Amino acid sequence: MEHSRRDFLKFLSSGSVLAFSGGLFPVKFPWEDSFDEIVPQGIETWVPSVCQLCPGGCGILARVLDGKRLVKIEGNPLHPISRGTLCPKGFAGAQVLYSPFRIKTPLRRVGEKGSKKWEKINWDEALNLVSDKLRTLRTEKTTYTTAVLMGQCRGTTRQLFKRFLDAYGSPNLIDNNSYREETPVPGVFLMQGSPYPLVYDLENANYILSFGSNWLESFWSPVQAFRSFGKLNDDKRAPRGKTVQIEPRLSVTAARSNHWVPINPGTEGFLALGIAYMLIKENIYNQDFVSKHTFGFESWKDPSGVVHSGFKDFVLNNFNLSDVSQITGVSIDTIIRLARDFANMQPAIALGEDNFNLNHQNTFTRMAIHSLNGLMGSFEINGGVLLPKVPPLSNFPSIPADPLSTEGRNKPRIDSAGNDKYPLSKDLPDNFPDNILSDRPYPLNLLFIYNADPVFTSPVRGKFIQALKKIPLVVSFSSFMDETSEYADLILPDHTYLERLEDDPTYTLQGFQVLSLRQPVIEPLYQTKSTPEVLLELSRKIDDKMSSAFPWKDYQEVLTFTVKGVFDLGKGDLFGVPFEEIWTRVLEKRGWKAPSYKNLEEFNKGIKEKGGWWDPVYKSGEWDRVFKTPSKKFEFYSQILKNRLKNQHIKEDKYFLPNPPLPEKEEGYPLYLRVFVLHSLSTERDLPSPWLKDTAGFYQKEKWHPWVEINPEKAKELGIVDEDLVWVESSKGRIKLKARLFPGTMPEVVGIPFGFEEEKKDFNPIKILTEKLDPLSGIPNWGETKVKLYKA
Amino acid sequence: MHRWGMVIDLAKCTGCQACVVACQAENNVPSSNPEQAELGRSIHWMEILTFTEHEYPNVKIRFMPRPCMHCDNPPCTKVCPVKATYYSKEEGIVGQVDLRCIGCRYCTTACPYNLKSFNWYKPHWPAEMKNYLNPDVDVRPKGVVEKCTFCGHRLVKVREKAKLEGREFNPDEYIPACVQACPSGVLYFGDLADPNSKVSELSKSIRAFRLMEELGTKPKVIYLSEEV
Repeated sequence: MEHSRRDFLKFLSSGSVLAFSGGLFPVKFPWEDSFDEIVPQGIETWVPSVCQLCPGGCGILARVLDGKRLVKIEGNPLHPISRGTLCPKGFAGAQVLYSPFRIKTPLRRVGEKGSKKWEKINWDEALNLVSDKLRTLRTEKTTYTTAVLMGQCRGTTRQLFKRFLDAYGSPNLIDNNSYREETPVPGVFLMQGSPYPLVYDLENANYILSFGSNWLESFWSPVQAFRSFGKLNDDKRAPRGKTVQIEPRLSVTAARSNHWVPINPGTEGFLALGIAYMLIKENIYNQDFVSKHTFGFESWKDPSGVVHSGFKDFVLNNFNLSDVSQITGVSIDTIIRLARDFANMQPAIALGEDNFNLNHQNTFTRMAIHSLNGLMGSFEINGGVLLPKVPPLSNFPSIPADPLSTEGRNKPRIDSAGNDKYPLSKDLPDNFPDNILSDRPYPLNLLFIYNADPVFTSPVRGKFIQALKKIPLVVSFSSFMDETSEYADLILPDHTYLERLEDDPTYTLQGFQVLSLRQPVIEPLYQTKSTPEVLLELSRKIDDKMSSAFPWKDYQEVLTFTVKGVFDLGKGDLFGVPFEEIWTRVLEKRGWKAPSYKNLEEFNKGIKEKGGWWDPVYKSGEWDRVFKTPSKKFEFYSQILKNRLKNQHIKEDKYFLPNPPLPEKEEGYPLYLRVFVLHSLSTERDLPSPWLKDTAGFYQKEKWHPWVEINPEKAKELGIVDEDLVWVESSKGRIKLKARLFPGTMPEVVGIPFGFEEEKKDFNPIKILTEKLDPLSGIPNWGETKVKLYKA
Repeated sequence: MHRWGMVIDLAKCTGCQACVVACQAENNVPSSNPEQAELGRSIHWMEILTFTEHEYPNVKIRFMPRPCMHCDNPPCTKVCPVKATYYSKEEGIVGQVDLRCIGCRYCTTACPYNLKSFNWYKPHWPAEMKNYLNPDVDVRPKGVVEKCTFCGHRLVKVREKAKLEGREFNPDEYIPACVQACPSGVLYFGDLADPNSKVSELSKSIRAFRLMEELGTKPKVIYLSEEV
């Protein structure tokens, strides 16, 4: 039914308006000019899909009118991650889809790089440009000078990218995502040795001791974190779960925790070891677990007769409470209370920061925090630390033999990941620009950027810009003109997540495997193309060898192939109501299975209708899988680190134990900068949504613009009053912001929200963040930035 | 006869803003912009109020989601010269008919909770974004007052659906967008007239309180305090 404004005015002035105005009022309204917004009705359908505005993997239901208008996004009640709810980002998806800032056709740069001058080209022309380049590199036998910089991406699309580079002949798939699906946090990896990330069963824990992990604001799966918090504080639960936040500023998480413990920035590791000291001294750690499942707790003599110092002696000799209290600024009373609560309120979890790019903790601090989980044996139990499996997608057939691609694949990586300088690194996106600028180990000819925006998120953004200018062909797949795409040569815009077909394998915080299907809720709005389809098309255009590695007609066919792996697993079931979940679990634990599908066809159909598949069972106690260290145990003394550093001939044991360094002082910059991530950011990408911007700094009553938080006492000392404009300066540069006096900031700390960006205004604190990388893992460490502050 | 009411468990609220954004998406609330936000003219039917108490290091921030209180004795309806805002005896909802509103703003002044919003500017949607407007809710012009309706259009819809299917309407079918959205389960919604409903039960909790009860407004939004 189409209404025009004219119809409506006619309607207003006719008698029918009396029906609701009661005949009391004049029919001529003074504001009738603005009454032109009549929203047409339509036939309603609800399409299940998956959100992709953060790595959380929430199931959504999209309300679509007439098959072409997305009206609202809601949570899918059957989906085990979202259970019918969503976080604010999820609801703002409609503003992302219909954003006026979307890239609508392929674009080619016409001016200088970064000059923002573009011309529209058609897809054939654009793809030919890329495939010509790819073919040339192939004939020149320099296929390895191609790289992919990849942000959030998993499942079949990720596998397809890998296969593309493998078949083409390049080792350079560089992960640049703050939550890397296939990489554990280095500190955790050193102690557990598993190549996959952990999950923390927050909702079933009784005590959550968070060392700076802002889990109620910028967690990898916010909806699960929120639901867990709700369950911890439910009336039905007696006593309620307790949460403690140890952080230099009062974040939203700290505000909602039972206790906020302000701590000197960069000393979280010392506090963790102070707590460990108390647990050992009072003998209240889990002795059974420590003796059965850990390595390096007691001191020991190795076969050659050398005595090694274990964790126990190391902690008792070095971390007595008065020292720890002095370093951390946390009172001895508090440390004792935290230790006793941690031991008494089992199951308890020690939580550190799990982000890669948005991180304040170095590897040893993270180890120190994780050692508390080892001391209390919080592994493989309800409310503890679990190691989830990922739904098993079918593996692709092996790539047809091709000497050219084998040779290219075996070249050293362009980002030097895994070298002796950063022995724990799997990807080194922040080292990448340095290498490009110095042509190490070889010059790069072609760079693809998928879902990543390093110019926005990396402290080495300046070098990134130079590197992007240097690389002869930079191809971005972004749907939006983000900061990195501005320096591209060619943009092949992808659909948004609401127009794309994709699988999304992930897991819940209880360790259950989940495979959801992201399906297009409406037809693509513009001339955009799904990136995996682009890869398939490119492979066909390059040469016969490449096309034989990709025998599929289209991406749907690829997906049908990979998802079959989950069907073949023969476990789990389609999403269902909680009752079905319990039933599946009971049957499966007893060795039965009764899935609601009989064959592959029904399975595929069911996934489309219900949104996906999951296996609501976590098999705990597979210690060999959980602890993949040389000793097959949880290692307080990391033998993995010892092996990786064997070229450096380090003899001292303390280097392999959780031994956090003292934070360094910097002359002339007396304050610590604490950059925090607000709920409104999609982990690390800015979302073009006015709804989110309008709620961003709600507790400061600051919207749209960023601010800098200063302790009121400190502000008085510096002669700054509320809402003054101030410069925040580090050795790298300075930014101008509005000062807000905030009693939730420690006196020697200033806080700035990450990621506000506006034309011609220097807001983003990334511009003044230190470029130092963690020496073992090569991950940027924001926590090491010192600043000074003065009135503008 | 129903008395629809909401219970808000403050112990569970994380201040995540899901209710706020879900409400805006459901009810065609115009997006704000930096200039209007600076003037305090952003419209939020549901808003999370914050209270910062004490000094460092004992500082505490409290969050409080605030929809319309849907008072049983609403001060706003009494001052409206054109009956644009009214109290529905059948549902216990305080409604707002935007078409009738003459923009005098008596009600925004009368409301002790300060929750009524005036449209200071013409609502603006870029052409593409008009696609996501909800046809069940009208779009307000400049110069009228708007407020939370407990998503009254959803009630109309489920009632019509029940009628169409020739069955009794089930109160559980009616749920406002914010309640449906909340990931931590802070918000409960139901019929306070039914003594066996979840909200009735919770409203008798030892933690229950209402905002500014002493004014005699009889709000139907009941808060549960963080601690007992």
